[in-house]
Amino acid sequence: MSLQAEREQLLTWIDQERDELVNFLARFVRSPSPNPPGDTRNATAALLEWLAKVGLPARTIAPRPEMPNIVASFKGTRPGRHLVLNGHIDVFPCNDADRWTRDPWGGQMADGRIYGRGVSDMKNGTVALLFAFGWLAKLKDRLPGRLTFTAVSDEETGGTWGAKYLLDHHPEVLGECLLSAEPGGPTTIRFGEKGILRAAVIIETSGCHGAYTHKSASATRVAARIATELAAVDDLAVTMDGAVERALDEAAEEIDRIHVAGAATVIKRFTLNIGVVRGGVKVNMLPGTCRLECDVRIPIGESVERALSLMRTIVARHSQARLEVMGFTEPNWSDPGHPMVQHLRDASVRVRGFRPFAITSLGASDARLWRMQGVPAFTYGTTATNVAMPDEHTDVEEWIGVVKTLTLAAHAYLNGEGAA
Amino acid sequence: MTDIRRRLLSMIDADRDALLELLSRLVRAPSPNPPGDTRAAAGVLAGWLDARGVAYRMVACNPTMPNLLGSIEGARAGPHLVLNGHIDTFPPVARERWRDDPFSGRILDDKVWGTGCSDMKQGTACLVAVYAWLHALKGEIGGRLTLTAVSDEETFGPNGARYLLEHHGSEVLGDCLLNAEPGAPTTVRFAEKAPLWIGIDIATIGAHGAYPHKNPSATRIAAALIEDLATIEDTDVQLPPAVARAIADGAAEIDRIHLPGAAANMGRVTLNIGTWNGGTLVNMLPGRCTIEADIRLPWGVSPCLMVAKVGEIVARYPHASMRVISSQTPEWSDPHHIMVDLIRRNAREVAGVNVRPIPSLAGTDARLWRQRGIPAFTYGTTATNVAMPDEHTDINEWLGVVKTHALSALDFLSGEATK
Repeated sequence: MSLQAEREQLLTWIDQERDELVNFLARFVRSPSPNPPGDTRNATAALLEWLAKVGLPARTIAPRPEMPNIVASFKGTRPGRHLVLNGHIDVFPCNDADRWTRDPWGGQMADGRIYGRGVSDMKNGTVALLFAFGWLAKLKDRLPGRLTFTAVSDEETGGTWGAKYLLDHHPEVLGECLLSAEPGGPTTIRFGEKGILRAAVIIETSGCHGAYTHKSASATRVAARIATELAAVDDLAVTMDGAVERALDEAAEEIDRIHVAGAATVIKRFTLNIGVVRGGVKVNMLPGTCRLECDVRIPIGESVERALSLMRTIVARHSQARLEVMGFTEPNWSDPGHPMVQHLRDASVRVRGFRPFAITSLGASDARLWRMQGVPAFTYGTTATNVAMPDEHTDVEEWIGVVKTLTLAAHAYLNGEGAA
Repeated sequence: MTDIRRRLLSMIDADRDALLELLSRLVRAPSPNPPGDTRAAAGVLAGWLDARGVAYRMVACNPTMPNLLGSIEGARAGPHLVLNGHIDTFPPVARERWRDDPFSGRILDDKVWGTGCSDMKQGTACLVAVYAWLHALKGEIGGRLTLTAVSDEETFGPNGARYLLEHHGSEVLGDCLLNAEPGAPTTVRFAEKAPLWIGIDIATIGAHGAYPHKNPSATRIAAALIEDLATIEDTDVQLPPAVARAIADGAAEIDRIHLPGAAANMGRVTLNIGTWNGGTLVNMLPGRCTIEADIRLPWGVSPCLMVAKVGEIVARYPHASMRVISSQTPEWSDPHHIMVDLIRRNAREVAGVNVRPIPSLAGTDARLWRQRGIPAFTYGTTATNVAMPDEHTDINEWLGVVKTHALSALDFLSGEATK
């Protein structure tokens, strides 16, 4: 069988197993895995059952019993490249079920879409990679190299017990290239992502009875002032690498189209999100504590330190406030000229007839953990429709295109196509 | 001093240690509200009355929030005095900043320590004790004395004084209300500012935190709204002359006991953002945020006017909506009422303290009597660290207050005023 014939075979399998694919995704959505709290056991069991059914051995690695990770791998017939596929099992929590028009955990299919919390971020991607792994395994007697599938828990809250744990304790998941299927949009391949700074501003005053506002500074009112002043983070000037900036400018229209107008601007800027505010105990007590949790995104080429030093300066103006860094990741990116980018482009042209742009990502993904260890990492997935919003869903037709593109790109990479 | 007054004072002196133990035990029976379960603390008070053979009833609308109610008929006709204190307390704040357990009830350095000790377990213990001592003298006093020790004061809830006034009005209304909320033994409170509690809810669609251009942030809208809301503190206020005079005369003392700025705040609208909560996870753009504001209105500012004013500010934010949680009209009693004179005279006599009638910054259940046309007065110990770590009560100061209450109640019932 020629490589061309193998590609035809893969596409045929995908078309033949389309119903199974769709039903499996719906079933996966019906196994809730919101994080926090992050108990992904039911959802993990669904993946393991599928692997067992198709006869592929898999290991469960669970440093936290309620947050298991799956690793499955096969070797081809001869030496070659090692490609790692990575998806996550956990999803955002759902605290706004009342605003949904569907059951957030129902996996309901309607109008060519599958609805549910996490279906877009990223249960569809994890299922795509799982099935791609299964189909490529059927060709393993003909393939060179090695293919590893990883499905992790604990991505939504930073990855400590998921991808980070695997990379620290099971270096066999590092590979030579990482392909992730986080949502973004099939017209874009992500070669990098913004950095993240998570910091808490903690305001402590003595507090008192609420009728005695002259006795103590109010932690909530100091917090409101600081929150207002922190908006300056959004206006920090940015210096960006010329090639990255050109790529983003070329794709500007597409970035705005897939991520809503304004995204092409935001991708090149610092942004501040005050994700959580917790202040006070009771309406008639003057609050002695208030906590602002900030999520700052750092554009490619800039540093966490830029944002942090501005935030420190602002917080230092308020004697009752202090800043605590909760975590950070510097912006990270891989070579947009890497063969995997070309494989994804070729596959997309073949499957869907369009050439995706290579851009960076607004959101963060576990792909950063591979980049930080020097492994080129790329993300390709469906449109991120209503991620962390009511009525999150996945368009089935678009998703099938993504499944095919990922499968063909992985096949091409393993076969060493495009190698010098 | 008359013989009966002298006997009353010696009863108090004889009970000194027992009284301290009563307060300590009361603090050791936590009754934070919310949640407001006051059964254990009410049991401590009931124990004091049981031990002295004083009859009372437990009246409970909500079984976890009992109210203690009792009445004594004097030997002859006379005015009806009602004593009122509350059993519930604020929830303990910042446990880690206390030097001891917040519910220790420890007696140390001539003070009793613990959550709610000052607000107002000292006052309620005082009134329960006064009731028992006057019960022992009931064959010699006139009029009628009613004790109300209530639950559900801290949240202005429906199960405490409000329940008693609505369902046992003829027994608890009386001709005059005496309350022992903390303040300072140098002041008797004839009025209080009125709390107006407003909730503001902000709802946007929310999004992933990396996509702040997609939707407005509920927390950032809230921050801007809070800053805007501060302007209500500049509301122009026209105080009634009697109240304005009392504030002016008492300004130095008000600032001394409540820290500088208190006298100025007395005649102003103040804003406390008591709670501000929004968002679920740091990396999600929050779609919901809620603010609870505690606005204190001085006399002459109507809650309707203030609700309209806040409404105008909230209306500038299309994602925000407001709801009135609780609204009251500021009331005041006559600062020259006979009870004020009795307290001033007795405090000077037993503690050598010069007492001024002033209004109060904080709200108490006394307002419920004022709203029904009953003159109501509050006299208590210094409010030391109320709703703060290391809340406590100074024992000597407290004993002076206890004696002042006991004598003033006795004098009022004896028609002392008319002599």
